[in-house]
Amino acid sequence: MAPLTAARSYDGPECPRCGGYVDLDRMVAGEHRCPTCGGVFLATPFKPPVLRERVGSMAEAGPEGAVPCARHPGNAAVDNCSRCGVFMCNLCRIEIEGQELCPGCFDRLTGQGVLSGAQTRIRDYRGLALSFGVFGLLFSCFGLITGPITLFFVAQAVRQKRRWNEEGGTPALVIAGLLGVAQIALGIFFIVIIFTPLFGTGFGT
Amino acid sequence: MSEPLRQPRRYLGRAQTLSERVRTYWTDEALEVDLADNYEIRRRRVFFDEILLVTLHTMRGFLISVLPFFLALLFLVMGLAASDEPGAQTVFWIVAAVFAAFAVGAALSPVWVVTVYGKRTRARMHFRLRQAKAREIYAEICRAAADAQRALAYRLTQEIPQPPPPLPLSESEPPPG
Repeated sequence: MAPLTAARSYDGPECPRCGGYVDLDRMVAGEHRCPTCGGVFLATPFKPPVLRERVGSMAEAGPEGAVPCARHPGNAAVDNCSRCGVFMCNLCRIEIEGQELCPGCFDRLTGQGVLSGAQTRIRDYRGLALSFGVFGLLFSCFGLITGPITLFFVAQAVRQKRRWNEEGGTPALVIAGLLGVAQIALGIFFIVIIFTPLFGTGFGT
Repeated sequence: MSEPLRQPRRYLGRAQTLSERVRTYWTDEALEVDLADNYEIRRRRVFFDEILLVTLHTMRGFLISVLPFFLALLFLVMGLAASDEPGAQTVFWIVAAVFAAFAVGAALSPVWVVTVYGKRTRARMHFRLRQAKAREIYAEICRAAADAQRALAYRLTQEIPQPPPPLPLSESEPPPG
């Protein structure tokens, strides 16, 4: 089953209250009343410039004036791929994380997960750490299992946070870490409580 | 291949509905929208130079009041069931009243919503009882979008190919004018 979030596709700007149609061309910055729902909202419209890439053709430059693109022989190459060195035109050139890549290398590096900026699906270690922290505490008799798992997810979340160069979000991880430690402590406590009477060496004998 | 350090990203706000949990971050070139989906983050970006519309409005956040409402109902029923124990009944009713008050307060408190519409996706942030913060974020995004789009427009005008220089005049040709 498709996730609920994918049920409604994005169709561009709309009324933020009801999702009704708004006429961007006639809109000016300020307060607006939606013609559909009558709701009032503050809005600032923008007209972003249209990006047009100029692609030089081999016919213009001549055989000695330019090198053909490896994928589009009719287009003049403007650069080499930083990874494989293939000639590429303006259509093929992909600039990402300080590199200029051809589409083939971009696909390969994205598939290998090397280009973090191109990743769109990532494991949510922060959410996992918090969930294991809270739910693990409810089943803290198994704290010796759930506690280390929580701490592992906290460590992964901290690594992820550093890799993304992210500011903020530390208190949640500190809470998750403390919950993990509390689970381990409770797990040890339960084991002591259970096994002490069996061996007859505890406080109750 | 060593991974280059990413540009810093700053947490802006989140939006939580029945169908989605979204956290929005600020980076130098875009708003990063992290959509939590079963312990997996689906990341989208609204680039500042592609922003079409930024809006700010208020709404009532009924969602957060659902849990306290049901807890209030639960303690009310428990209070009714414990009619034989007046002490316990009083405690249950006090707890039910606290949850009910919280549910009503949460349902009536205004939530300020900042929505940013890009060409391909949108970002949405909810700020409960924090109007100043919502307005600050709204203004900051509008400013960044205007700056980025002005810079892009300038860059595009610079990239327009200039007409070729005039050919040198031949000696036989009389000077113009």
